Amino acid sequence: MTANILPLEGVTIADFSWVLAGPRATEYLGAMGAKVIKIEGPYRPDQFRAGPTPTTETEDYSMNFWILNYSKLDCTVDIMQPKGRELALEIIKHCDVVIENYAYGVMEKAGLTYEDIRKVKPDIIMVSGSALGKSGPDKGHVTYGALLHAFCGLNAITGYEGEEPGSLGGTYTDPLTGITFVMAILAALWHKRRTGRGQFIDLSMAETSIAQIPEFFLDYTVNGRLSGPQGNSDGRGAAPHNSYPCEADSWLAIAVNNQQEWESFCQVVGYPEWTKDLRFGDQFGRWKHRAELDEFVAGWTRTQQAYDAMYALQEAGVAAAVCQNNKAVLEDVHLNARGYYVELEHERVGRKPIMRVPWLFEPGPDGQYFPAPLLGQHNDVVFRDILGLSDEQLHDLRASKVIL
Amino acid sequence: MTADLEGILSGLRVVEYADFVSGPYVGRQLAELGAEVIKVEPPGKGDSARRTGPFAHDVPALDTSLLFNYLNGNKLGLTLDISTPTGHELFSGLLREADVFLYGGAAAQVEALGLDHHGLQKTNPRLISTYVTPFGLSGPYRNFKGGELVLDHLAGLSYSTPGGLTDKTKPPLKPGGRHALMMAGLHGAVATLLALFLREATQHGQAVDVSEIEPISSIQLFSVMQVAFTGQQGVRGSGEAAPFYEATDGTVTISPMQEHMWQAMVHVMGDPAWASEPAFANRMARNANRKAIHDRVTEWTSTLPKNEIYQSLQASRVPAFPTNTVADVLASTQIQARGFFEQIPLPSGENATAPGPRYRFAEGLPGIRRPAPRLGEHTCQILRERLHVTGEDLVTLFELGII
Repeated sequence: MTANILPLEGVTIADFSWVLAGPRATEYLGAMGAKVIKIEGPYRPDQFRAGPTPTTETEDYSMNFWILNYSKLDCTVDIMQPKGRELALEIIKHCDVVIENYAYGVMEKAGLTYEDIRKVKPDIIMVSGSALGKSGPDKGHVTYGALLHAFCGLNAITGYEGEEPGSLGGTYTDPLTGITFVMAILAALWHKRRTGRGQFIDLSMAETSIAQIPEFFLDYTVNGRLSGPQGNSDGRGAAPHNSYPCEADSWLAIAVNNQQEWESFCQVVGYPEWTKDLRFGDQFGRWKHRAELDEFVAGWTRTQQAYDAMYALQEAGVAAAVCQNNKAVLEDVHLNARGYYVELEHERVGRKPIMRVPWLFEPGPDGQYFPAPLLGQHNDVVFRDILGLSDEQLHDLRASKVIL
Repeated sequence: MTADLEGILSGLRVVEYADFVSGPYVGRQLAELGAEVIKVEPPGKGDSARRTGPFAHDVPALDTSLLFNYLNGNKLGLTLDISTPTGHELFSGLLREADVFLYGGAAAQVEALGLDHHGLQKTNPRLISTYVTPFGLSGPYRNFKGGELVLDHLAGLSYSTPGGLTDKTKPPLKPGGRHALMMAGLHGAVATLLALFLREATQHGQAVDVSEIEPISSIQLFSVMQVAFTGQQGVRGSGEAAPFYEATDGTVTISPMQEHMWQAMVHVMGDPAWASEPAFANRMARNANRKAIHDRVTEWTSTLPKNEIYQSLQASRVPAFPTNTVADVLASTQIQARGFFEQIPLPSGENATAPGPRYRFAEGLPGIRRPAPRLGEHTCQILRERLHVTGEDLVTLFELGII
């Protein structure tokens, strides 16, 4: 009965966002039933269309674009031209939400700030995302996602204990900003349902990342403590708690959190002499002597096949995980059993997977998934069906290069 | 009781039975928006985050964990042993009046404690149940033990951390912090709001299944999809490593990816002669001479403080940032100008400076006004007012260890 209704049916979104954070947010919103109209510059489209992994010889449909733009309609508007600005505002009049993550100055130059938009659509919800936010002395600063880790204090606590700060192995700030965009938009939509009022949300990528590690900030503001790289420790007296080498150049994380788990661990490793060492007699002793303990554990794991050891330990109730590479994550039996990868079909790429939204509803719905659009693929849908423009008007817009 | 917390979700009633970080972080975000969140904890020991550092002034006690106090601000606190029939009955009574049941913990406990959605929904068809568990409610790893280290390893993050690893005898790492758990908290809040929208249309509450493994796996979107598109597998420790350059007081990271950025950086450095050598003429040449570039650029950076380098490069629109400690972040004029950090109240009565909401609204986001509950702080009040438990019964329940 409920399986076909999507949570955001009836919500329309004007999506001026590009690259990663914004597109991640709007594809999730699209999958949840919102009508997402992606608006790209006809001669300055989303940078991710061009790669870095092109799907064909043409430069307008890359893997990156495929991953981040499912479940959207796409039209082209040159917002820097006065006629393009007008057209963008016409689209916005049909929308509940405007989202953008251009560098500071682009929407301002186009005359599409919240103040501008509010004049034609008073109850609009507008969300802007930028590196450091749209206010303050450094509002114009530019970034590539991973650089912001350094600014936000994430590098300072990453790395081997006692060594220099290290790099994080992925880009956290953009996906984090993406899901924060979604949260802010949903809260604002709920607010609008209750009050009829829209609002402007000025999102800072840095702030969303700083909020990832609140306990480290509080340890400093309350206790004056500055933490360095954490290694693989999560504190809490957990030992063994590290990543250990296995056969065939693979690694296994093991985390023993209490006495019961230690006893299960000893059973799996077969009670060698060192497990009876008095230093390792209780969780506090193991924590105090964790460096020595790590050596013994590694001595055991070196003789083990990583997946076999993971299954044996987990079976016994001990947290353990193989250090999976990208291929193993794609082929992961658990993620696949949960349908995390959804295959879509498109003329440019054939059948390829995307990552669905990372949550499930029971009994449903599953969400709507269709492949990332070609540049301007839905110009007709947007300009004729939604805006009701005539052939003549479209011809005129094309002639003046406002649309493709 | 909640008049001072008027917000977007005012009137929404949430009952939380969630441990440690991910589930409680969902509750915190809803409470930040004005929802009433009643946190139910096992009597005696409470949420395990209460026993997790750091602690205020390094004095460990059940009410002083800064992690716990950050994650549970604005909530009301109740202790109840829901593994007893009487405790479960009282708990079900709370859920009859609730909009959202929020669970955070092991998936196996959902059934063991009689917390499955269909059972709970019998007396309240509009109830939404959000389950935040390590691996979700289905799938072969459903009952695996999780935790940050395990999740980061399975999701492919540790494989590429630390970026730029040269000594492959060193182990894979989890990044500092608890990203998998915090990410799950963010996604749990989003999915719960979506279920509210859905309920508006269907009048029926959903079960929401949020795993900790999926949100953190979504971080590695490019490297994982690369396998499907090109078959290209990663190399351990090869994760994105923005180069760090020594400054007089720390390091800076700089990434002049496009030609105009490189030219701007050369200009900021004072147009040194080496920059016009053929080895640095274009992006391909520069890629091949990264080590040489690092040495030359360091000659410049090592004479200047990190903030001066950062500001001068950004003034010419070159992506660059200082490697900040948490103290540097707090001292940042930009962060201060936006008033991002806020004062959160602690149970001791003092205030602590903490990261504020990730997004700011002109109205409807009251933030954290009330300290996290002391263990069992509102037990008697809630049981009396909401479930009409008599004073006499409260005494017996306490004597029996049920509350």
